[in-house]
Amino acid sequence: MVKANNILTILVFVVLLIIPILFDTFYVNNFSYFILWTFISLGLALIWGMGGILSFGQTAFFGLAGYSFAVISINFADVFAVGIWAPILALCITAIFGGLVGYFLFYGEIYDVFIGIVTLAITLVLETFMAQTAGPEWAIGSARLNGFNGMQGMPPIGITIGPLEFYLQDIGQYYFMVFLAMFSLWVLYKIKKSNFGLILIASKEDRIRAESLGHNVKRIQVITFSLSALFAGISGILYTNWGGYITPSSMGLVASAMPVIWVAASGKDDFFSVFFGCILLSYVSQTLAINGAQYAIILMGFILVIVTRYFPEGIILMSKKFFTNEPLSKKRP
Amino acid sequence: MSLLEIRSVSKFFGGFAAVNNVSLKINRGDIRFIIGPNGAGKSTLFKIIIGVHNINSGSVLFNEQKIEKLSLSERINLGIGVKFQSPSVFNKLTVKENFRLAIKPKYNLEISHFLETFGLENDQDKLAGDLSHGKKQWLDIALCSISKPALVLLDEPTAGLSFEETKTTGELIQELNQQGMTFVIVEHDMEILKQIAKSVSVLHLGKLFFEGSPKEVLNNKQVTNIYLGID
Repeated sequence: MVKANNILTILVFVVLLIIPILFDTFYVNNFSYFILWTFISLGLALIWGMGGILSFGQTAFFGLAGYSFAVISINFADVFAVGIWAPILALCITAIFGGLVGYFLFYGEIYDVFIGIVTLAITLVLETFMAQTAGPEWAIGSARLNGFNGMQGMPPIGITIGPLEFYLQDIGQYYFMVFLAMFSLWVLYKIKKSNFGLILIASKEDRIRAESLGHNVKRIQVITFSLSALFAGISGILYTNWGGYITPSSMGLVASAMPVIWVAASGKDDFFSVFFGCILLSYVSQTLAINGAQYAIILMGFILVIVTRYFPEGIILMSKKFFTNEPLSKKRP
Repeated sequence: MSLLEIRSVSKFFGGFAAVNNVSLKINRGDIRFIIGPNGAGKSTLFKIIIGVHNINSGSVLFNEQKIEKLSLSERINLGIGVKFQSPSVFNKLTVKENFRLAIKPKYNLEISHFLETFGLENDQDKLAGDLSHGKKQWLDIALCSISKPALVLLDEPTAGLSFEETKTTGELIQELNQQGMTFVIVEHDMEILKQIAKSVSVLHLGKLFFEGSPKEVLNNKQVTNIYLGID
């Protein structure tokens, strides 16, 4: 029998798949923008929802991936298939950086609220550093970093083979993101069901006990942190490709708080809820931002307060459980 | 040959010696109780053996191999099982998932026998947090012994248990001991000590105060005095 959960997932993806048929390119590109944020949120759900480690540093990985992609693709714009290997290389750099940060955090025995503080500091340091790179001396090869104005003019993701061109833009970009989101959800569910996922969930409840059963919890946390950085990096690269620019403000204080709000409000313990909730909330946020960015920020803060008080499991997850008759738990986000 | 040997181990917290030059030898097949009044250094010694506390001097040997520099998980993988003071099962996971965490793939064990031994056969799909306190204690002991480690360290395995549950716990430990596991148990409860102990070490003010058989320890007036707080 097909479970109610699966029906809901299929339904949402069917709707996403027919959007380009129903709407014009302008709206499809807007939907692409909402979907690209789901990857950073899914990465946070992995490290926070499953691993119990709240990271404010996801935007640092987002920015690092975006900047790496821009620098590599600008410098090697004439090299064959740069639009394919540049994003992959940028993702590798981001995952390695995430792994290094994770290594120093977990092997340095930094836990709980201090992880939030350290990761927030990393993202703010990166933002401050990138914002002061306006001068001509701040260039990597032929790629100017451009300070607060950010980088632009990078070639898009894709490839030219003879007369044929395959580039991620408009509807092609949209479908790529939807299929990548499907694949990411599948991978994350597989991780959750694996022994690796079980140890991660157990370590969230009692790290020392999980170690006392012979598991190398620190190594598992480092790998997970690196994976969550990779997911944030996917968002960073897709964002850079979508808009054709990347700026330091993408690593700012407000930007780093947004994924935390989306994930907490949606339900950090369930990947699908995070995916769906992130699309809804970034849609609401974007719609309000048209009338003034401050409204969106105020609303997001308000949502976080309401969720913490009345929907501790997240609005989307609790609604999903209500419709599928699953019992609610009394955990706080 | 000793399975576990503690050689002149000391642990200081600032200027306070929680464990002061303690030496112990635990032979294979033993059920060794470590007792002493509050503040004697029992829990500190327990944490030194498993690697939660680093030592200031001395050494800890398991199977003649020095282990004091190894991490907790590395010590466990040498063949040591650990149960902490309060039941530390994973409350938000089912009993079956708790077992999945405890079974190393290389052992390829059938958990049904263990579920039966510990009276948990009807609880495997329940959340561990929904078990009674006694069953949590048994699940905890089961988790640290299911991979058949050579040495099992238990910190107060009968805390909060009724008389009957304490007796059953003693029987479970004896059954595992007969299967070849050696036990080191930090405990306050004298009933289970009388029931299953093969040897006893008494700590007092961070030092090894007395060692002997349960009968010798229980009949020693000085031990009784320090245990009851009489000078």
